[in-house]
Amino acid sequence: MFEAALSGLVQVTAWPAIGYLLFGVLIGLLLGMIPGLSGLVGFSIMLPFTFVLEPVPALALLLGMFAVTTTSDTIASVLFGIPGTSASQATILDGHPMAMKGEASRAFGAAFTVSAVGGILGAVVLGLSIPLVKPLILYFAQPEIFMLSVFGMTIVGTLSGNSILLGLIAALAGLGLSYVGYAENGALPRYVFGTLYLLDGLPLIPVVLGLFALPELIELAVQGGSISTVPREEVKGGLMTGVRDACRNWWLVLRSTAIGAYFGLMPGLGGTIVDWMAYGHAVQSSKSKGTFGKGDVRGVIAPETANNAMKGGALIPTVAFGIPGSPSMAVLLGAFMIQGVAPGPEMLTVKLDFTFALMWTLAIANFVGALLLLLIAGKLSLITFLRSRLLVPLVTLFIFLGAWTSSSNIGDWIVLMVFGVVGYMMKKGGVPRPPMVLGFVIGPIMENALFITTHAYEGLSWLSRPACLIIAVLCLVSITVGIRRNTQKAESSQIAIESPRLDPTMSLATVGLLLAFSIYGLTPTYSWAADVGRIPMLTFVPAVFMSLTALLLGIWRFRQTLTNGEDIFPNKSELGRVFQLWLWLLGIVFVTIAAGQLFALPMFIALYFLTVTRYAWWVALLSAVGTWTFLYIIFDRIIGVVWYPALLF
Amino acid sequence: MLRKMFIAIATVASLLSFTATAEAQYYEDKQITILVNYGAGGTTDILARMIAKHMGKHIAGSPNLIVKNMPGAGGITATNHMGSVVDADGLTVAIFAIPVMQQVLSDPALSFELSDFVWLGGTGFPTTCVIRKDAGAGISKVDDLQTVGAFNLAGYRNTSSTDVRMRLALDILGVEYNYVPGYVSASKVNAAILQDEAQFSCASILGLRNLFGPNLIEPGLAIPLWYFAVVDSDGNDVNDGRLAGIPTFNEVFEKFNGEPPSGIQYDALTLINNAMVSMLWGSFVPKGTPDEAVASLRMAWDSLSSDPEFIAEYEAMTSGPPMLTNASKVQDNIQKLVDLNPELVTVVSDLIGAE
Repeated sequence: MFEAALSGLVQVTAWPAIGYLLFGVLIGLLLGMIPGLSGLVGFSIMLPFTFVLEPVPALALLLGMFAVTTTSDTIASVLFGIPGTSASQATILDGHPMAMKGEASRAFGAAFTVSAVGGILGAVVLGLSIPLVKPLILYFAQPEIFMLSVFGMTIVGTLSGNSILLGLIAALAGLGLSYVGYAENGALPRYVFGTLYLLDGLPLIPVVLGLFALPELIELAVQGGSISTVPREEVKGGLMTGVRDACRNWWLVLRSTAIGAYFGLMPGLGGTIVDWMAYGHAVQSSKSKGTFGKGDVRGVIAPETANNAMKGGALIPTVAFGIPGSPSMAVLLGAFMIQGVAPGPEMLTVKLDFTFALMWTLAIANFVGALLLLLIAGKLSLITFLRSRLLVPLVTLFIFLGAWTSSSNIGDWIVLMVFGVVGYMMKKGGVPRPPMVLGFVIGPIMENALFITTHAYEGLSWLSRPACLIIAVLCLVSITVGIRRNTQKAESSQIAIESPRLDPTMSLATVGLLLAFSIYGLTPTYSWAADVGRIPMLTFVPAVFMSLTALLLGIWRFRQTLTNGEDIFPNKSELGRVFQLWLWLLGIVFVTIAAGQLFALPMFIALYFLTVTRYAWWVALLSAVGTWTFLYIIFDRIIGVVWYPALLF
Repeated sequence: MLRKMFIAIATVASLLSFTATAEAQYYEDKQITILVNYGAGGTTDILARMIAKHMGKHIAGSPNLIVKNMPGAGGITATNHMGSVVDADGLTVAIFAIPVMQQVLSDPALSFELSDFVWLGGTGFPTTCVIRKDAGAGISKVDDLQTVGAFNLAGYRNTSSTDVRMRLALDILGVEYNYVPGYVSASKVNAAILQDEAQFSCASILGLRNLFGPNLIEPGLAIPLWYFAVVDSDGNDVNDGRLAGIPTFNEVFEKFNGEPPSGIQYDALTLINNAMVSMLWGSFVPKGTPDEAVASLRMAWDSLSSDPEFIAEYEAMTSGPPMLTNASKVQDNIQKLVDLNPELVTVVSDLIGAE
């Protein structure tokens, strides 16, 4: 094995492979920085260039790019609360609050360091455990995937902040949202309102951008100032503080590496939820949870370690058995086909040196990527001290572009706007949003795995499979820990995933909305075939009861607040400004429908700078021209985005 | 006589050169957008980008080609887009995974008949079926299928053309099986068979070469049973050299029953299979596209089959030369899918409805 490892290293570091690897790293870093773009987009752009390359340089280019998108995606997550890619959703929970405390640089220091460590250690750990990999992968069939997805849902308790009831309702609503679309198992469209767009289900990126990024944008626009509420000269922790944080939390880094690598190894589950699992673990295993959600560096360290370590984990089943461990790895399988590399057991025996070459590529790319980002992190963090009036149009641009690249359909923007409202209400009403995203991500995996399990195995025989029993025990442990920690009254045991200043009116409205959604979701399930309706029914029945309970509790609390003479609607005063921003955003949508994005987005930038920021006309004009050039060159020419077919031109 | 011949030749030559000039002029300094109806990174995207990379040099006027993805609703979103939004100017060309089953089932989401487009060509792969050797009572050769007993069939989804074909085939043979759909890709099917969760399934030659071959067949875990060959108008199999040594489905049926297969189920299987093998992927433009553009694009499509660079890249991916179908054959197949025997549609609909 040592010889194979050495031979793999020589192959990757030889020219021209190393050159392609470094080029791939640069492209990957850029793609990760721009929300909505990911390794998949990069793959499409690079693919035609790899047709003529030898396997090692070709895969060094593609894998080098893949490896680092989850390193640079931290930038948008921390600075703007926008998940740079779907792998960095959990990072925003503490990353962005750190930026608001003026600690963006510290967050970057920690994130980039642990990304490199996680990426390298993940590859090494898996390299060493190759002999154990085969039985592990072959044993994890659909029943185990179903049980693992149930286990994933048990961290809801950890992500629920101050109210486990509201967390559960949000998680069930997330599951419910995941049922939107064509139910492949029964050839039946569910909750699609007769639209073609919803047949594929709600797209993840616009939903997450709506739930998290738009409320942050509103906060930025309404409250003014800058992202950092602490003046630049008063900020204490810098880049090196973050690096030291990473070293100080070495044990958390190691555990998150293991979570990332081994969850990544599990086909069909790992890649999608690994950041949430690592975040949940960081909270669960911490004695002092009071700072989580308020800008605790551990909340950045755990997911950022895991999402890079996961890539090594996902690589092994891909090369060894043709079983992709994550969506990106499914794409990499395509690259293997082009190169004439057939994934199979031989990749762990006679072609082990090639497999090691791929793992070295991951390790080197992670190291180089993190190093490059550390060099520019200090400058990047200065963005948090810029005036909000300058940032709002730029952040808006990235949020809208990020959502659009999801499926290039105006529906992406409608979903973004709708979930923006929901996200804002949840934030102000103290209903935790992370469980909703978790439910939304896990829902399809859980439903599909259960469907296959009930069809492929007789009765409930699958429940007696040893791995299922072990995971069931883990579920019970996780639930018990979650409940116990949430019932501890001490302030130190509470995490502040959501706004501490709860708005009773907004809370009541949000719970009412979730109740209405649950009733709507439940209604048609009675007339559906069991395969199509069973899981939605099992989701919405408890959701209705829990929402109803929460609503009654909310009304009681509302009346109490009223009796105490406290403000029942503290956010009322800002609603006018929120509505104003909403009109701007709606304007983008309507102008796009009339004249297309290449006109609407530059025009929005120019008008915002002119009327709100009050820049000179020539600055506004130059900004519009710059925006147009950026959109045209990057998104139209290089990425090949399909724009909205405008009515006018 | 010689003079007349000279005049005739000169006339034809000038007409040809006029047409060639018109075609050359049409795409000169222009850009063609290749639209793909699935997302980035999948087989459809890879193939479309490979074709786009080489097709440009065969189009008179050497236009610039760029590829754009428009995924959604199993390829229907982009198909409707081609019919209702795209201008018929030959500057947007579809390279799609053709929504064949949606056409067969008259899916209301599909706003256009596939015959509403002008077809440029198509390509596809044959589908091969494999079974685990320890399935049911055990199986070491295709003859044992008659006595193997029930096994799990790993399917994609009940409206998938692969699922419909493999279920029809087993029903025609009278083999008992338990249908387990829900595996979203060939790699998931490969995993299910490896894990012994399912024992039987089928995949394209890509899946056979990259997944089933190295993971199931070469390690001795499974055997290939048959592949679905294209059946010509005389009812004969068109054998595929890449799958030498594996019998066709018709050969297996004949071996079991002593006569070739027939009946409405078999007709449905043949119709769907012929379409999928010759045009799993197809290229088209909207109706009304100028003739010179269509002629130029069709010529470019046909030229790909003799382009050594394209062939080399394609062979690296599939271990065999490309099987490109020309426009008239694709148009014929499309018409057959549109003018369907209602009884055949009922057979397919019933199969999809029943699990």
